[in-house]
Amino acid sequence: MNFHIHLKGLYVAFFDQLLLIMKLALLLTFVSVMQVRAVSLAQTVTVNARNVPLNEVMRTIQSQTGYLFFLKGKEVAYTKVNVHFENEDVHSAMDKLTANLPLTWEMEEGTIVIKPTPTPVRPATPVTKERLTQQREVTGRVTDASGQGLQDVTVAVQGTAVATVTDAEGNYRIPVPDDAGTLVFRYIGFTTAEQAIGSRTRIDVQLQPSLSDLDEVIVVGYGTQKKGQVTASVSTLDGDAITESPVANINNSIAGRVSGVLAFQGSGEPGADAANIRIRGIGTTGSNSEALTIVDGVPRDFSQLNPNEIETITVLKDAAAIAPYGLAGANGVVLVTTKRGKEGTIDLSYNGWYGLQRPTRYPDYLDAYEFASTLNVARANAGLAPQYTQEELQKYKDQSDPDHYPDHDWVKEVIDFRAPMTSHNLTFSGGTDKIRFFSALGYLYQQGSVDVINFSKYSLATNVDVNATKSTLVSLDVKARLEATKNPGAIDGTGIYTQVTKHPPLFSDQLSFTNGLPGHSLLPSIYNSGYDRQQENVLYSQLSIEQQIPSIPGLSLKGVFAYDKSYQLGKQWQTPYVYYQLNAADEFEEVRGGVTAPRLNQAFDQRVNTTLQGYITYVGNFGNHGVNFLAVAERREGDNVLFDAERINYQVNLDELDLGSAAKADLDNGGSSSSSKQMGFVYRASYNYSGKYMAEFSGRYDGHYYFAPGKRFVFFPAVSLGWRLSEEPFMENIDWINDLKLRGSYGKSGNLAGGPFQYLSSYGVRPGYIFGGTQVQGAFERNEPNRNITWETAKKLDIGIEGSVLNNRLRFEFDVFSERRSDMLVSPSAAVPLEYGIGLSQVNGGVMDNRGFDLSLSTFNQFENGLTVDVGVTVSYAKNKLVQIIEGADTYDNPERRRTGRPLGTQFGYKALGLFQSQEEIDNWATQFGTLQPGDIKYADMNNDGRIDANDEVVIGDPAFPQLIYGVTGNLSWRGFDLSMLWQGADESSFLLTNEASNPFFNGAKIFREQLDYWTPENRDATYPVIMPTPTPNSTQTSSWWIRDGRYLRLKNLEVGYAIPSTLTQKINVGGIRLFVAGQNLLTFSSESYLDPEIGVGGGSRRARYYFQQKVYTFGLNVNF
Amino acid sequence: MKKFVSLRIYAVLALPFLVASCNDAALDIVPKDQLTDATIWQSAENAGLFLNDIYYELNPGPVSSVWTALPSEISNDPLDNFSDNSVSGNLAGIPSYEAFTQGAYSPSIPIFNDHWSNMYANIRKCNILIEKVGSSDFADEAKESLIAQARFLRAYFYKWLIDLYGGVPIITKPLDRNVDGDGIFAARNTYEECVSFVQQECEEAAVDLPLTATGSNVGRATKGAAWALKSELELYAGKWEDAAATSLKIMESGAGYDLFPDYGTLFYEENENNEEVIFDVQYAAEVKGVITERYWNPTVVSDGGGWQAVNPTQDLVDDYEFLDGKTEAEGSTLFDPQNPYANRGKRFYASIIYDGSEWKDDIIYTRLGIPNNRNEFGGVGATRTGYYLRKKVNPAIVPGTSSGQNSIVWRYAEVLLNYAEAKNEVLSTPDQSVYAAINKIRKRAGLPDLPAGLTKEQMRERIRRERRVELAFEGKRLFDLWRWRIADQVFSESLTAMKITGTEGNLTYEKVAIDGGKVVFDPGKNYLMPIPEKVRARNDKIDQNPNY
Repeated sequence: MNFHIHLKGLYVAFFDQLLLIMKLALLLTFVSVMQVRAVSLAQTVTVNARNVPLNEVMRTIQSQTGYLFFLKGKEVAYTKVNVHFENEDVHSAMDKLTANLPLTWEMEEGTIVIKPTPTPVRPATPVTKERLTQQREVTGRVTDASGQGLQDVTVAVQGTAVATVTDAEGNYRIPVPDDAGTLVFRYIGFTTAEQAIGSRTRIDVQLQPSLSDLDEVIVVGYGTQKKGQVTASVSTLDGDAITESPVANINNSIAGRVSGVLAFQGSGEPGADAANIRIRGIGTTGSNSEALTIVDGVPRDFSQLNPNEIETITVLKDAAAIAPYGLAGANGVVLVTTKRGKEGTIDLSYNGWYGLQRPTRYPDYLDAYEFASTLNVARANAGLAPQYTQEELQKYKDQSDPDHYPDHDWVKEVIDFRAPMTSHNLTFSGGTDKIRFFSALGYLYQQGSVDVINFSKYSLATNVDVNATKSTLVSLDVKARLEATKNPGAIDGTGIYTQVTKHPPLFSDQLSFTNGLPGHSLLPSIYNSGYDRQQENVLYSQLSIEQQIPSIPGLSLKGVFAYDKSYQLGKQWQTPYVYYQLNAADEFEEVRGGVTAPRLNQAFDQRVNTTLQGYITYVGNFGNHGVNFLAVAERREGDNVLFDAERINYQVNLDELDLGSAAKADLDNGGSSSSSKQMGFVYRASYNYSGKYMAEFSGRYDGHYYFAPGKRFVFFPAVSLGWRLSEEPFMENIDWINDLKLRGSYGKSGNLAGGPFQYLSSYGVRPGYIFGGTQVQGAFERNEPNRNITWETAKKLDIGIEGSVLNNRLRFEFDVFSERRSDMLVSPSAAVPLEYGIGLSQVNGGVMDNRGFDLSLSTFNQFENGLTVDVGVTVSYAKNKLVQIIEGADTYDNPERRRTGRPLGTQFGYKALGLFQSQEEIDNWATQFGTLQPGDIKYADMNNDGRIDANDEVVIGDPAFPQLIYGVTGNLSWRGFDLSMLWQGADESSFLLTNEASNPFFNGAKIFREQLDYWTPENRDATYPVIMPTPTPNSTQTSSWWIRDGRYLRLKNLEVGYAIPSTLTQKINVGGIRLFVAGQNLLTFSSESYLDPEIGVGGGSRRARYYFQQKVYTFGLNVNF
Repeated sequence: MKKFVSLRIYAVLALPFLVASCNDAALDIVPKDQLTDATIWQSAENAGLFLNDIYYELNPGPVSSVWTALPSEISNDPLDNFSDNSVSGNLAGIPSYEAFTQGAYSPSIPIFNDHWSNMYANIRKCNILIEKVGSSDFADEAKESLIAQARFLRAYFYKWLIDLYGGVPIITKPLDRNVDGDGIFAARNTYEECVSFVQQECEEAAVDLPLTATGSNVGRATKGAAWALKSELELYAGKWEDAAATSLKIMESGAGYDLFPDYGTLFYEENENNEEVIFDVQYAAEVKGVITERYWNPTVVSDGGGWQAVNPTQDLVDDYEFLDGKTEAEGSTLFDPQNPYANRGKRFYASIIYDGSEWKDDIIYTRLGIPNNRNEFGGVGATRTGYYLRKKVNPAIVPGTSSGQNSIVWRYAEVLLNYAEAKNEVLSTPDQSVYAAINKIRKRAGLPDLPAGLTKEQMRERIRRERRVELAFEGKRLFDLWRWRIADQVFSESLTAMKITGTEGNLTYEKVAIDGGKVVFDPGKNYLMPIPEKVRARNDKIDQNPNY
């Protein structure tokens, strides 16, 4: 509900002036246009069409009469009409055409202008006390455009729980509180209508068919297409779904919501918690398997955009969809389109939330007594005397002397389990038919594991669209944001997690004493070690001018200039700190920690990217033939400058670069720069016959500076076909199928390989050795060059079926795909001996297959009592296979160890057969690693040579990155209440536990409760081998013993909201208020209940020493003014 | 209105602009941070940059797979932890404990995993420089100097490989797979061939190397460095006559080598490049610093704490003679069971932190029973032997801060020891020169001269003890144990620690086995390191060492 009383004065003064100027401009342009178009116009039209959008009919009329037309608004353009004209006079044709529609038309300067019939403005209803108490009834009838009564239309009083549905004739009867403002009419397949009640007792409504899903315009590479005519594999996600889950990083909102996207969040660290997104899995062995991300047509990062700015996210998956992106598209493309102002009322809304975060899961670490007594057990196994006496154990147990026998729960005492996080957003948008604007102001604050670590983000985005002339659209977009990350000088969030999961709760690592003095460097390093601040400033700006060419209807030209600049400022100030230890006399002695004298480091990193694009588009309809053509020329350039400076040994505690030690030996600086260039020529030509048969050709001729002259340009074409079966006569009688389309695509795309200049033979220069106490420079040979290095090539095949059934209640889309990636960059180093002595540039020698499917289902249901339920399911599966890589004979010749033919990242290691149960069993087994005892892991001797070595390696697990991701979303709304949830799961992955996560007492670290299930003669079927005070070489081998199933299912998001009845909100002159509570990662089901399942890809995480994933509870508010 | 018309024109104009610039050259970018082949070899100065970078790769010891991935002599697991001189304090992930002590090292679990490829990468750099400078037209002097240094460095890298693995492939030209084809796959040369090769390289390099390096050249190879390398190689190879001759050449070189007066501070940064140093790896705080003080300090010290990565063994302590020139085992009258650390030679006090010794601003106790003492013997994260390392640890450096202390590769005392050992082996009875060399070292240590009239065998034992003590924690003991073929005997029993109980004035000293101090050593194979599996996986002409 939009209300603009406060803004009205401003609105009138400003916009009326603007309108006047725009009108003048428009008029003059038309005069000039018409002057050059001195032609006689035919006056009759012949059109036959059923259920086609108005703009198509008008195009036909235009081609027959020469009259230009102008449709005001998208809704008008896509209104479905049925026409049957035989040599009809234009005027009468237009009258007939608009007769049953809420449209009016007029001839303006030889142009047919069609616009919505103005609806009377709702008179403000004064609210009085009597009215509040009164009840009355409103009756009426709901019909479709042809006057047919519509059954089961939900009629509700806005902002209340009062609702009913229409009968078979379309009649309804509803009791309304007298102060009620508006009736809302909802019906599937039709646009929701709102009617101000006023003093009326009868309200008849004609519902307009909504833009069906098929006419929805979706964003594709370098343009838009109607969903019904898309022949490529494309998924879309509505921006509202993203704002739904209050997350700091929108990257994390995508997994499970969009089919074909596989994602994995590896860290909960503020500012660094973006999920790894892979579209249709991992298709290459090369370093770059990430999707290309495009924001408003320009390659940019989107993960830190304000979610409230996002209109849609489109994921381009198959060759036909990504072909326009040429060398950058092979890993899939994510297109983010931001919101723009819409013609109509002025909208001002606020959206904010406040939440608390805590770690999802972490191991339950033993307390001091348990740790110490377990260590004694372990030492006994190693034949060593106990570390702790009974007396000491007792003191750890009873905590009678906590300064000498402490028991600290490091995790709980250091980590903030109620770390706040908040976000506030204000959006302001609106416009007229001449000028539209959208602006959003956003603020996000996220505290880290402790209160001195935080991430804050300020963003401001504004865009303006101006119809400079009737045929010219000028758009100017500016987005700026500031991200500030604050950390202590000597430690960061991940470091804190490492520390709290590492130190046993004993005297040797006393966290703090009972008098509050720190006994360990951790607390002072968090609170007294200075700071490390990173500031990222990002500007995205672009200007685009689109010009329709009036002399060739359907042809337009567009130029886009984008200038993006980001600069990062880093300032790290480290100071010495102190902590305490007890001396022999039980006095507290100071211990100095950290740097010996303050030091300051400042860095500056600037990146500038410019993008220049020129578009030619043509849309034409000739009877049953529809033609679309797009050509784009694009040029991108980038520049990067890096600069940093450092001073050490500050005498004064002032954190200014100038105020540090003046000795030259205490100063340091550095800097570098680089540039990049790319250009490409994109085309897309599509043809459709009656909207039934579709064909599309797209591609790009692309060039990049990475490669040698002569190797820089390459052509990536694709073709796709579509067949709308539901349009065929033989399907006409199958009522339950509303739409059915088959489509297929095949094409070639590229992936930029490795780093630049691998074709050059060259030498690098670096600071090096010390002669006479002074550092000198050194020059070194870079990798052996590869003159022929070039792109990776992907050949992709996709076959899809999509449609909707059961009165559009169930929509589905299913794609199977197969990709072969060739010329994949692999290191040829296996081809030379280690004695060769120089690294080799990569070669385009790898081949990989990647196959899978994506499925999405969505249903929408509406019940008599006003309950609406919609449910969506997505499943994404992708499994790759290394077809050809450069592999050494040692693994290639052994079918168990061969990497070729297996998925990338397949985990290899020894096959654990179990635990040795007796010395005899050990003696009769192959030689393993070091000295063994019963309870040690027994490995399979695959080649039966009597010893376990690399040749006994086998496959022990799936890749760590999940091959299957699925999601279920559910949305429910009823009488002002709404509930939404996202369940997301993954499967077909394994993770390997290493170091502390596998073996207890690793480097003296803490142990956790699960590790108590170790082998003893009484516990032979144990999860962990015999416990030892130090992990043995035998149990630290990579083996199937330490592999865990990576599958999980988690409730990623749950939100419950309630809209306060407008009857109440109107009293404070507010259009609508919605309150919500939400939670993230509330429930998780996985193989190991003590670890977060999303840990498993990288180094620190496999040790369970990483920034834990966060569970977040949020409360929020949306207000529409 | 003209404004809008012109806007439209701009939009149209954008296209031809874009199209016109479509060609290869439009994408040209010259990398700003790289030099070309022509530039680098155009002058001796530029070629010198390339040489500098080879020096940069110099390591005082092999890089083991320890997680700090540092050359052993500046790491948290120095080579002496692979001998009977010391054991590591921390255990997890430490190769000397996990792989070496437990005898678990093998081609699959090599201790020095990347060392092979690192050395050959360095050797290639030398080969490149020798080839490119060799074919240049620089002034002869510059040319000879560059090549001589590169040949010395190449010999140094080869020696590391030879020491660890025995014979290795000798590659003296940069390999090019496009030219050499299968020739890039070379088999191992014999140990003898390798030794001869390095001997010859050192001798020839020495011709063009300067006698001394001064000023801004300090740190560069000298004649002495080449000869010291050769002397050690010959000693290890048992080429006694050669070793004696080469050592003597250094002693008589006139380069001014002598013993630095103070054994303890000889290693510190303030005395670096002193008269005793023949060749060292250069470091400088902050820019190319080391943090050995963090690794090697005791658990708790007055200005922080260390990782006590080197715990000297009782076995080593027992070899430090008392001031009468005898050890406890030899019945020194100065040995006091109630005060076993008194009356020892200076080197003991300069090398070992023992119970009750002063260190930094504190007294370090390892005895049991002192309250709140985290340095206590056997405590969690404390010494496993009752001792901490003092030698090479500079008390002025705060643990954790960057230090510029050089790592000495060869010093004059070692040359004297090389000479004495080789000469003794050559002769049937040791002559005066043998005594002189050893006594010079003993004199600095505050010990009496060796008794006269030692037999060759007695002298051999004294030289070996002298060598162990003098060169302790300098990465030499492992190779001495190997070449003397005594490792299996030394490791037949557990290494020992000192457990001290009681109270001041009434202390009981007890030699006990170190927890986990029994080294598994198989004389059938462990006198050489296994060649890492990945070396042989890439070149099947490389044979594995016996019994691995």
